[in-house]
Amino acid sequence: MEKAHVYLKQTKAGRWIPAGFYLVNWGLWILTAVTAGAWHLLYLAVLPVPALAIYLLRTRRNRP
Amino acid sequence: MNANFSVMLIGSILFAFLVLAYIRWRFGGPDALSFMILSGGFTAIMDFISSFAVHNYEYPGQSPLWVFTFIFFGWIGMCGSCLFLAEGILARPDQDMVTQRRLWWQVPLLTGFVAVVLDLFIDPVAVAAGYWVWFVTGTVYYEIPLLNFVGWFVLMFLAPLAWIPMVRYRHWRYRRKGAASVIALVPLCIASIVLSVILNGAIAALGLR
Repeated sequence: MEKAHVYLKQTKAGRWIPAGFYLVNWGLWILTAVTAGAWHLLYLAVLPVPALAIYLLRTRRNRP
Repeated sequence: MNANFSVMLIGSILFAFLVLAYIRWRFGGPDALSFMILSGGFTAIMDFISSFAVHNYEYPGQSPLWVFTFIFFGWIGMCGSCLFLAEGILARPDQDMVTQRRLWWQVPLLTGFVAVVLDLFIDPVAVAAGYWVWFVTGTVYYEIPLLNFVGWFVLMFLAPLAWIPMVRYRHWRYRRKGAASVIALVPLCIASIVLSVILNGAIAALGLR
């Protein structure tokens, strides 16, 4: 299929896998902060959240 | 401090392969190879220079081979997770960053911003955990130099900017796409140096570090 990459982006996996990558990346650094005892830095974990929230909102209507 | 460099390295390699598997699934093997060269190779070269040649920072006690391997795979994972988020935010449901023309530069630009925002969380944590040490002291944000954020933006902007046009050549196979990606490293490295000098110069002109 010529535009298979567009079709695959619209599937459930195409939507959730990128969100999962970002979430895992973010979560591992929260874990790093916790295990390092860097509690005073944990509030910075809110900074990457808006990008994920906007992504989930913007891709709501993706349907093949 | 309880930095576990082995876990960090293995984690970054596994994460990079997951990202490459996703790219292979969506775009095909040649584009996954191209992404590996352009996001991993390009950023590893530039970051390696920052760590060893310019000596801006270091991973305490780690060999050059460890550093190169970590940044090669680490940047693939980082670039992939920010790039596809940026694409999802900007692309129309029936289009993607390859088919929608204006996204060729908009998605890389947003990828750079998303990566910098993510690093505003990552860098202070990584320094506190002892994963890396800065030799240049910043004056604005947790003593992390602003050149770090410039570096993140430049690398995460330019790598997708080179990769997206490469994906358009759907008929190119592994050898041709791989060779084109390796050749693209030269202008990419030059562009990143020029852009970094301009942005770091602007920051220095404002009296910030």
